[in-house]
Amino acid sequence: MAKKRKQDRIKPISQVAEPDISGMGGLSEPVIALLLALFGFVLYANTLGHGYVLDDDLTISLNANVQRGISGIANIFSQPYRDNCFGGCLYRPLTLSCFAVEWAIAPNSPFIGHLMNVAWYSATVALFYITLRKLIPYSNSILLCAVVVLFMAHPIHTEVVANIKSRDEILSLFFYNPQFIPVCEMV
Amino acid sequence: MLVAAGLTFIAAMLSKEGAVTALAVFPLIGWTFFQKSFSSSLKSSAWAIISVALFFFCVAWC
Repeated sequence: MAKKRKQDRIKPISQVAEPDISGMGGLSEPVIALLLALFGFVLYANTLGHGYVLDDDLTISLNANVQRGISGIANIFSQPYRDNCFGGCLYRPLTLSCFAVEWAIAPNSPFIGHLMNVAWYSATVALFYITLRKLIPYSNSILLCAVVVLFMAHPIHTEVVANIKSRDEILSLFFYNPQFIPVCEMV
Repeated sequence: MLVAAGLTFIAAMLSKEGAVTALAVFPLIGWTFFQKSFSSSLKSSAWAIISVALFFFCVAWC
């Protein structure tokens, strides 16, 4: 009798109702991601009027390959990050290519650098939310948003967004984030 | 999806070489959170190993 009761309690997976993951006023996931990105953009919009600081000069305004614009991209991919391996022989051609394209659009303009930094950071935050949603599909949207907002507004990220040179870290995280989706699907 | 994952992993490493540490993280995810054997987790991360090899080839060529 007890066994029969236990069997009655176990329902086939098709009959199990999906947990309620709403809580954001019926907003769809892309809209939530877009709103988070917009919040990230507004949060760091005050950096748009800033100039070159710290390593920015060394990486952008004094970098001969970046100053060549798009024609310098071939050299960027075949040379170290800084001239004469200053600070170590690093290799970050994708970041320097971004700077070269921006230099071609608006030479010696920190505004476009800051604008792209904030835009990439906003996109990274949106992607972070989407990745979390894929990894934890039945979690509450409000909880996920809280995690993402905490990550986004944490002051430890201020230097990364406010310093144009730190685009390397933003781009790295942007491309690094979605890796976890296939990893968790495969293992 | 594997090709896309490999390409974005290479892009992450070309942006900043610190992303290479994910090579250790990916197998550990399977081993720690999904209770898979370490060897099968390592096999599932073969695409990441290939990506890192390609990245180091680029660095050596540079």
